[in-house]
Amino acid sequence: MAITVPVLLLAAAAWPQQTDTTVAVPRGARLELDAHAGTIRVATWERNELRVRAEHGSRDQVTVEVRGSVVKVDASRRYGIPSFVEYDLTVPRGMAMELGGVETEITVEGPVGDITASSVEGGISIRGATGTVSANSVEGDIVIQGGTGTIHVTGVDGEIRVSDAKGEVTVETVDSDITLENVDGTSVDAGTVDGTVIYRGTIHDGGRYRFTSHDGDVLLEVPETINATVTVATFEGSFEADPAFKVQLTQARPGKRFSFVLGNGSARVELESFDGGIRLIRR
Amino acid sequence: MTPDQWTARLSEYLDGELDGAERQALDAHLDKCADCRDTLAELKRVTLRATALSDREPAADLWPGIAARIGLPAATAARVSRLAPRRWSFTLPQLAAAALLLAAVGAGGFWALQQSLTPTPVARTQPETAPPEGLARLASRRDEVDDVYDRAVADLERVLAENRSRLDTATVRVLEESLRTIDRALARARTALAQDPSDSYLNAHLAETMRRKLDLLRRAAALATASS
Amino acid sequence: MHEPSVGALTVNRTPAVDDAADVALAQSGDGHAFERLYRGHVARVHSLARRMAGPDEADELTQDTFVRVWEKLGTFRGEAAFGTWLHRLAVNLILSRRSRMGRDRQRFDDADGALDLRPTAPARPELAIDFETAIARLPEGAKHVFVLHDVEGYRHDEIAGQMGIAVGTSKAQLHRARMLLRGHLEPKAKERGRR
Repeated sequence: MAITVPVLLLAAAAWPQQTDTTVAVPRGARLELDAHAGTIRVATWERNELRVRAEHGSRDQVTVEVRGSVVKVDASRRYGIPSFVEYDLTVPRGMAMELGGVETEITVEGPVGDITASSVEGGISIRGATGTVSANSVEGDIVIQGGTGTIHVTGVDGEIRVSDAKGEVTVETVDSDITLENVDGTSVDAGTVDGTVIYRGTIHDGGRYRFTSHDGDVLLEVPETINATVTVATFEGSFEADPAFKVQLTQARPGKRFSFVLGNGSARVELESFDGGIRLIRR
Repeated sequence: MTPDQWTARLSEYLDGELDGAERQALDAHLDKCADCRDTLAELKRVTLRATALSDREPAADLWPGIAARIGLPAATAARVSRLAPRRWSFTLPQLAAAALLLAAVGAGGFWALQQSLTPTPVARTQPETAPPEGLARLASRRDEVDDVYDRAVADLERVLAENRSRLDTATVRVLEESLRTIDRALARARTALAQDPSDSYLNAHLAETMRRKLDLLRRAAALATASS
Repeated sequence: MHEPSVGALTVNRTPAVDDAADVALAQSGDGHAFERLYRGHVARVHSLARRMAGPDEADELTQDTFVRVWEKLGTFRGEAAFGTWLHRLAVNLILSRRSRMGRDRQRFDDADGALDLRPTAPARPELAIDFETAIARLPEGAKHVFVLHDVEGYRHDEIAGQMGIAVGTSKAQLHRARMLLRGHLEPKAKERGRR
C-alpha cells in the first residue's frame, strides 16, 4: 500500500510570534542589540523613537529596555540559546548603535550615527552611515557604502567592499579581496594576505595610503595627475605602471623595494605585495 | 521522437508525471522497444534500491559536542551569550608584550622605519637602501619579538584547541584555513628573509604577518571562549 | 515517502517513535529529552549528510543540524511530525553549506567522468562498487536531487524550491542520476527482460 507524506514545502517553519514595540528615545542615546542568530535590519526615520519589530519562536521573548542613554534590545529564553530572531528596527536619524551576533546577517540603511557591527558567520551591509563605522565579520561579506566618518573593517574570509566614502578607511582581512571604490579619504590602509586589493579613489595631497597583500595583486587606479611619493615593495611579485604616469626607474629591474615620485610627491603611497602583481593603472 | 528522447522521459513515466497523451505515446513505444523496457526496469530497480537504503549512526558519538555547544546541562545558568569578540577583552601578558613589540617593528613601525631610513630630499627616483645601524637595532629586537611571539601564539593555540568545540564547525574551518594562509605567508617570508636578512621590506612584512596571525588567533580564541 | 508508481513496495526506514512528549520537554529546556530525540534521529540525519556531502563533512553537518534544531525548537508547533521538521532543517543546512563549500573549493564539476557511464552491470562483479559509493560519486547536482527525491521522498517542486533550480532541471538531474546508477546495483539474479 502506498504511503504519502503530507504536502509540506521545505521553507522554514512559520514564525509563530511577532513583537512590535516602539519606545521614545532620549537624544544621543545608543542602541545595543546582540542577536545570537537571525537577521538584523535597521532603517532610520525622523522621529525620536525606536521601533522594534521582531519575528521569533514562541519560547523566546524580545525585550526593549531604555536605561539611561542606552536602548537595549534583547531576546531571551529561560534555557539555552534563543532561536532565530528576525529584527526590523527603525531608529532616529543619527543614532549610534552596537549590533552583534554569531549567525547573524546585519543590514543597516540610512544616516545612522557611530556604528559597530559584528558577526561571525553573517554578512554585514552598512549604507549611508554618518558616524564612525566599525564592521567585523569572520565569514561574511562586508559592504560599506557612503559615509563621512572613519571606516574600520576587519574580516577574515568574506569579501570586503567600501565605496563612496569620505573619511579615513582601514580594512584588514585574511583570505579575501578588498575593493575600495570612489574613496575620498586622506588616510587609507587596506591589507589582505591571500586576496587582491583594488583602490579606485582619490589620492589627496599630503594623504597617506597603504595597500598590501601577500599572495595577491595590488591595483591602484588613479588619475596620472596625482602628487605622490610611491613606494613599491615586493619579494617575488611584479610591478607595472601605465605609461601615462611617466615612472622612471633607475634600475632596469628594480630591487625588492623602490620609490618614485609623481608630481610634487606630496602624498605617501605604499604598494606592497610579497608575491603578486602591483599595478598602477590610469583612471 | 529519437531513441534518446524516449529514454529521457522514462523517469517521469516511472514517477507518474507524464500527462495522458505523453503517457499513452510512451506506453505504445514500450510495447515495441525492448531496450526501453530494459532501461525502465533498471530505473525502477534503482529507485527501489534507494528506498531500501538503511541508515547508519555515525562512528563517533556526536552528542558531547552538541551538548557543549548548546550549553547543556547547566539548565539554570544564565543565557549562553556568544558575543562578538569586540566585547571580550582577552589579555595575556605575553600577548600584550608581543603586540607592542610587533607594533613597533611592524606596520606602524614601517612608517617609522621608513622615516628613519629615507634621506630627506627626495630625488626623482631612488631605490631604498637601509643604513646598517637601523637594521642592527631591528635584528636584536627581532629575537626578543620572536620569543615573546612564540609563547603568545602557543598560549592562544592552546586556548583555541580546548574550546573549539564550542564554535560552529564551519567557523572553525574558516578560521583554520585562514590561519593556514597566514602560516604559509609566514613560512615564505621567513625563507625569503633567510636569504636576505637585511632587507627592510621583508623584515617589516614578516613582522606584520606575525601580528596578523596573533590578531586572528586572539579573535578566534575570544570567539571560542566567549560563553564565559 | 514517495512510491514508484510501477509496483508497490513499502519500506519502513525509520521506526515510528513517539517524539511528541520528548519534544515538549525539550522545548522547556530538558536536556535529557533532547538527547533522546538526538539518539532517535541521528542515524537518519547522519546518513543524509553522508550521502549529500560525503563522509568527511557528515559529522560536522550532523552536529550543526542538531544545534540548529535546538535553536529553532521554539518555532516547532507540531503541525508536522517532529522527524519531518527536523529532516527539513537538516536538508536546508546541508544545502546552504554546499553553496559555501562549492565557492571555496571551486568544485562545480558536473562532469560525468567521475562515474562510469556503462549502462549495464559490469561484467566482472568483483570490480563493482556498492550502491552507496556510486551515489557518492555522482555529480553534485544529480546526487543531491537523487538523494532528496528517491532516497528521502521529497517532491520535485519542493526540491526545486530549496535548491534554487527549475522543476525541469530537478527532473532532468534525477533521471541523469538514475541512469548513471543503473550499472552499480548489486548483481541480482536474472530479472532483466521481464517487466
